[in-house]
Amino acid sequence: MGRKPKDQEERVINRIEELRLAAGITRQELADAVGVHYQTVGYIERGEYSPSLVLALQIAKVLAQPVETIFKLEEEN
Amino acid sequence: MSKNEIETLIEAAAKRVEQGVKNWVKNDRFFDGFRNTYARVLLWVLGYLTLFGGLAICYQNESGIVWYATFVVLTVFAQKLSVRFVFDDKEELVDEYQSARRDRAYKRAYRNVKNWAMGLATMVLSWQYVRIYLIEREDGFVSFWPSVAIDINIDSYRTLVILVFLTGFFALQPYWAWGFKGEPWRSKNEPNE
Repeated sequence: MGRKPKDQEERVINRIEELRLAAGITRQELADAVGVHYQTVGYIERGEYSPSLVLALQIAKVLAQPVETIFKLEEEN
Repeated sequence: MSKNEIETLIEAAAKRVEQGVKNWVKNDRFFDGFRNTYARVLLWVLGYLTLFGGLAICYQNESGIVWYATFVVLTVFAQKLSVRFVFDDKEELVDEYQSARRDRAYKRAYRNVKNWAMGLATMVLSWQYVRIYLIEREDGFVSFWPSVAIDINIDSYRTLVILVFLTGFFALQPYWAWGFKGEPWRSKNEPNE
């Protein structure tokens, strides 16, 4: 059982940008709070990078939302 | 002031400097011009031009090695700036995205170096057999597995040129393997950046 080819992998979509703006937090502030680079938050928001479970949980904690509210597999939509 | 107090002061100053460097590496925006995709493509092209162009010029002309070495060092440093020193950083300075991309770059770099090395070895050895069978065959019998002698005679200047080339070649591999995708320009349309 191997990994699927890149183009067949499920894409993770997220609502970080929407929830971050609602909470009045800048990208830099969120990045500092979870200990990543501010560009990394941008990559995650745009769906160009799927964060690890630890980072996803940290982001959920900062945004005060359950992790499943923030992240979803694209096919669930 | 006691010796212990002086040591404490020095340690505190060293920590402040280290923290300052860490903050600069993580948050610098002054050199963002080196970090976008166009800059990454340009650095890739310049790297190849500098390394191979310099090799050809210095090897032929037997001069200019100091300039060649200087340009190679500058090219490597520009690449380091471009990727925020991820290949030099301590682990705590690299976040998980950078770490994942860095590991992928090392894997690609290994594959690229392997391909270059195998390609070169195959070319050199194949040429020896081509030379023996097709060019020197006129002088009579050639055994099925002829002995192959590879003579390498390079003067000391050219040896230095090759050394500079190889140093730059291996130093640049992870940066070339990092990929073209750079950090996006900060756009006014991007919220809250």
